[in-house]
Amino acid sequence: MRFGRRSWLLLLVSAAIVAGFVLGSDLVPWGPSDPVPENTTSTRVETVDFPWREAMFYEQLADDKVQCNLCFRECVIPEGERGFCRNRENIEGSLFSVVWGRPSAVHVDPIEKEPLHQFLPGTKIYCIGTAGCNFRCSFCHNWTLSQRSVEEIGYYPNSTPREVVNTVKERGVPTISFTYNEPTSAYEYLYDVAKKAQEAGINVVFHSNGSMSPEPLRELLQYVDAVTIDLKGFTERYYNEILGASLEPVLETLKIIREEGVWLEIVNLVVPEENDDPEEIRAMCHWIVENLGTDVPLHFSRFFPNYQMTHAAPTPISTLEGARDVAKQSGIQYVTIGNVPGHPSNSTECPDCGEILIERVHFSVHDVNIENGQCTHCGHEVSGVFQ
Amino acid sequence: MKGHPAAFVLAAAAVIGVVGIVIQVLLTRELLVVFQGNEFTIGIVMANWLLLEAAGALSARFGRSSRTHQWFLLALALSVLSLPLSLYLARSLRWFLGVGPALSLDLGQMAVGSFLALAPACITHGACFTFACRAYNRLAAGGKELAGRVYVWETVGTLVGAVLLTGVLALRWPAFTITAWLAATAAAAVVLAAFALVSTGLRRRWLAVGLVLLLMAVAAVPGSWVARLQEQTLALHWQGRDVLFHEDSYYGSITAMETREQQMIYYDGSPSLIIPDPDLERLETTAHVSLLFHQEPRDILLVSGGAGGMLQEIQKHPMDTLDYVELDPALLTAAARLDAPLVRQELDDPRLRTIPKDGRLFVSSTDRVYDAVILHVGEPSTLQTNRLYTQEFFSQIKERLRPGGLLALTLPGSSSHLGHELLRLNRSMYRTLDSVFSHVRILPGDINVYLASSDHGLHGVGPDEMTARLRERDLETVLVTESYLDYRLDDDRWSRFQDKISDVSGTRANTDFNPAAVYYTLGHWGAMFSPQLQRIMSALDAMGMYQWLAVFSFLLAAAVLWLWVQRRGGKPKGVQHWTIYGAVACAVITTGMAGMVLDLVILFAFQSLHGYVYQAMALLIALFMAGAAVGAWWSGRTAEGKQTIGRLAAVDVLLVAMLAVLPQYLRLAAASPVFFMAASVAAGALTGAQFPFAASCLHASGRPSAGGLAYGLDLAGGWAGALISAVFLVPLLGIAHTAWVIAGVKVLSSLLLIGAAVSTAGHFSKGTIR
Repeated sequence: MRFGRRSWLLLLVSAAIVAGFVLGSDLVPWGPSDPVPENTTSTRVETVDFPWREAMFYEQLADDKVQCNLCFRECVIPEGERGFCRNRENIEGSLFSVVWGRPSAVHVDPIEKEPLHQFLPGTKIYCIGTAGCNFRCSFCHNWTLSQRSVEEIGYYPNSTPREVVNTVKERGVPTISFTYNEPTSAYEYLYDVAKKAQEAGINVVFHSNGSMSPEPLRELLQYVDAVTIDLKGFTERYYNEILGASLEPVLETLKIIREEGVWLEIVNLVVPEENDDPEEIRAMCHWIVENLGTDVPLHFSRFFPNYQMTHAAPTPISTLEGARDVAKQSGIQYVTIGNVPGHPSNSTECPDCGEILIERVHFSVHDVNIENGQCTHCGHEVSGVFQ
Repeated sequence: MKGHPAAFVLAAAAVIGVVGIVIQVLLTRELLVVFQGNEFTIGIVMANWLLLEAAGALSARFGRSSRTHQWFLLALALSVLSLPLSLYLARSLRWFLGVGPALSLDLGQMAVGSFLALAPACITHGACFTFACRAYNRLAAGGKELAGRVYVWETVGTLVGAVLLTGVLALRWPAFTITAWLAATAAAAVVLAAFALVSTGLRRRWLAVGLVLLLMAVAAVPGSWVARLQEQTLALHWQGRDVLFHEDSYYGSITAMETREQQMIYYDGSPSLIIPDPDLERLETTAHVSLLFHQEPRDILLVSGGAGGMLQEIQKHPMDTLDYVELDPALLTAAARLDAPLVRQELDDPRLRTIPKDGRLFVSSTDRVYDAVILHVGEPSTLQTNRLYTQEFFSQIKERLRPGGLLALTLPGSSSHLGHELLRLNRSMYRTLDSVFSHVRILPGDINVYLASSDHGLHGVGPDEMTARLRERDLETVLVTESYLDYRLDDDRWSRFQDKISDVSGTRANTDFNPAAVYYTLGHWGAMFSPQLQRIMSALDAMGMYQWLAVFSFLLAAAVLWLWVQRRGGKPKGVQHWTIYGAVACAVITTGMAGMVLDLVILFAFQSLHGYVYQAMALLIALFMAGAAVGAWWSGRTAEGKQTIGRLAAVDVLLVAMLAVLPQYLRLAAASPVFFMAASVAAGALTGAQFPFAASCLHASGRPSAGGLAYGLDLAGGWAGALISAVFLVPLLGIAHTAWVIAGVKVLSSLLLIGAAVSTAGHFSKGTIR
């Protein structure tokens, strides 16, 4: 039989395909790189292993849609989809939280890291963070949590509210903090933990971007001892362009926390050329004094390049000092500078005598000159929670 | 002079060669700075370069042949203007794309951006070359195909340009000054060509155009134009920031900036020095946490990142000598130029010995030994920085450590949640260090501190001992205090981290030729800027060399099947012998790919081993092109007759051999850049040799315009090769396995060719099919 060109070609094509499959399989022991197992951490769980908790504060609409009323976005969520925060899913016309009992970050940190400077200074907090956020900040420090879904990053099991409270009690940590990502997006988890913690005599605090809607906020604050709110800037432009959010709901939140009598501290991350205009800072400080009073501690924080703003410049110290001066001139009593270890304004000064009330270096408290809520130097009544 | 107009065309071709290589390297480097990208971006730039050159060559086909000379002059004149335009576009790309200097660009933006910036220079360059060929053919041969001579002269020009750029200009001149000289050279070519090529009536007009352009370009060199363009583009790039000064050094691009009292130096677009208030947490953690682990660090080596606070922190320890190796002396000069007391003071310390040298070169050549070696290099996001994080370098450091000595380095971490991508980077580094040192310890936090030693004492040190050493050495630290050490050395934090990091199965160790850390760092960046692409990359991560080969085999098989099906329904248009046609087409497209991969493999390997690819790039590319010219010249002489397809197959087999042995050869040849140059010539010669053979075979198979088809296929292969190897293969598989995958592809195409040759034996003679 003549081995013609067609036979040759068919032989070659078959050989190529067979070679491809054989070589492509794991039959050949000499492999350059092993496949990467996705499930490499003990905490990573791909599938849901217990029922989701039904969300609070939503309404059912026609066609199995729901409207979430937890934050200013008021997402209308079709069946089978999730809201903007990635954490609330519409299942057959009902809304569920997918991060309830599923924290993705758990650590014990100093409370100063929060920052909460005038709430039990020098103590520890049991920090809980989940996946998801309702903001899109270009500089997010915790983007691996906040800009991901729980399925992408995994979670720590055995973290129901009861289990969390028991662990915290066992470890003797006085306070639980919902932090790292936006607690609003894990509202039901925070709410249930806070209720259980209050029963067990454990403090609950949270650090938020301040975008929770008034009704759920008031409901939650009954069980909360202190709140840190990021007032990230004072213009709608900044909130829209850099944070993908809105300023107005944050201001509303600040007023509500004050009205409800929960201890409040404010953080302002000063980003060069974005929100560092002294006039903007002055306007912000005036608003704080007019609407919240003078005794809400205000922390100006130094920006370091992060996430999508990796090539930006860090904040010059003089910008932070200028902001501190503006705040003090406006009448705000407790102003500190953070993220600049060793700066004198890491410490809280007495607004009356100017002596140091709480001496701090970064997150370490070196000295507390407050007794019975009063400055040990001049007797000035210091706002905050110290016992 | 008038008697030899064709000679002027050849001279102009040489000028086109000079201009081509210089602007290619200049623009590549500028784009990399704008993108803050790594060497893999070179692949994207090269792919765009090929496409745009082809577009220029194609556009040149449309001019009426009676006016070829005028078209040639026009293309030359336009190229004069296009050079500064491309540079301007490259420099101000962020402004055009609407991306501020603080934000990073994603892969799509890089592809589109480089396409836009390269377009003017590449299109006119491609058009110039094609018109030069046509003009020469008309003048010298009366229409006979003699484009080869133009090609040779263009290649000579390319070589001259490369030598000039590497040896004389050395990238030390500002880019606009070099471009102005280039433009002047091209304008001079317009003037000369106007003398030689056009009739008296038109000559005056073209002379005027040429002279005006020449004057403009020459006037720009010493005048304020260059400075103004430089300032304008800097302002557009940095968008309103206060730039103090900018300079291009031998190794990188340095920009100093000022915001209020804060001064910063950006190196290749990324922040590298902040004064007077540096990132204290990073500096104190890196310096003190590392050194407190050592009982008595007397002799210390710091590799990179010293000026601007790091030296000062290390100098707080009671030690005898501190050797500070910094690759780019221009960075130190720039830091000194800011005249900050901090920098002045730390550089004046009598215990300090500053060594302006590549860290690897220093470590491999010194006979000194140290108690502690600190790497403060920045993330391993480029091949240049990665070469200080590889297994090979760690082994060299190990040789330079005293008993009890330690190596310290840092990687990004997170005190809240370590994302999947950062986890892989950290695992890879752990695995790499663990493969060299018997003891590795990690202190997790926002900055993960890695300590490696051959001494078991590393594990015995706890916060109490460190606090005691802190006091004993009387260190004035702000952040590193007793409570901070307690926090950083917390057992609970460590055990949780250890659970995650110690499972290194499936994570690659970082080596010179398998730069896994670069890939993982890019993955981390990808997760921030292009999460979708990152998901694709993560999915592809599971594919090894054989799987990639399987994909290519499948594609090749599919292409052949498609041709077979076509044949059953009637042969491809104009093709008399489809077997030859199919096999040769596959050979050409895969050779285009192989040529580009060889070129990139040589560049990447050079960067991994030697670290100064930007200076060598021009020469390596030019030698590759020269090799291609020689190869094409040689095969062009013998590209007829029945032996052709056999010769084509022989070249294919040689290419396979070269791809297979190149990585090992380059590794062994690490000591001398000359071997890289030789490899470039050889790679070019094999790639170039195939083209005339292939064109001849395609012609013989009955395909009309075989040259054009071969050119198109070669280009498509080169384009795909650049993109696939730079974006996927090298990051995922490393340098060696990328070459081997393409070698596998060439094996298949060689088999096809041999099969075609055997099956058509007897049918094929004198270039026609019987």
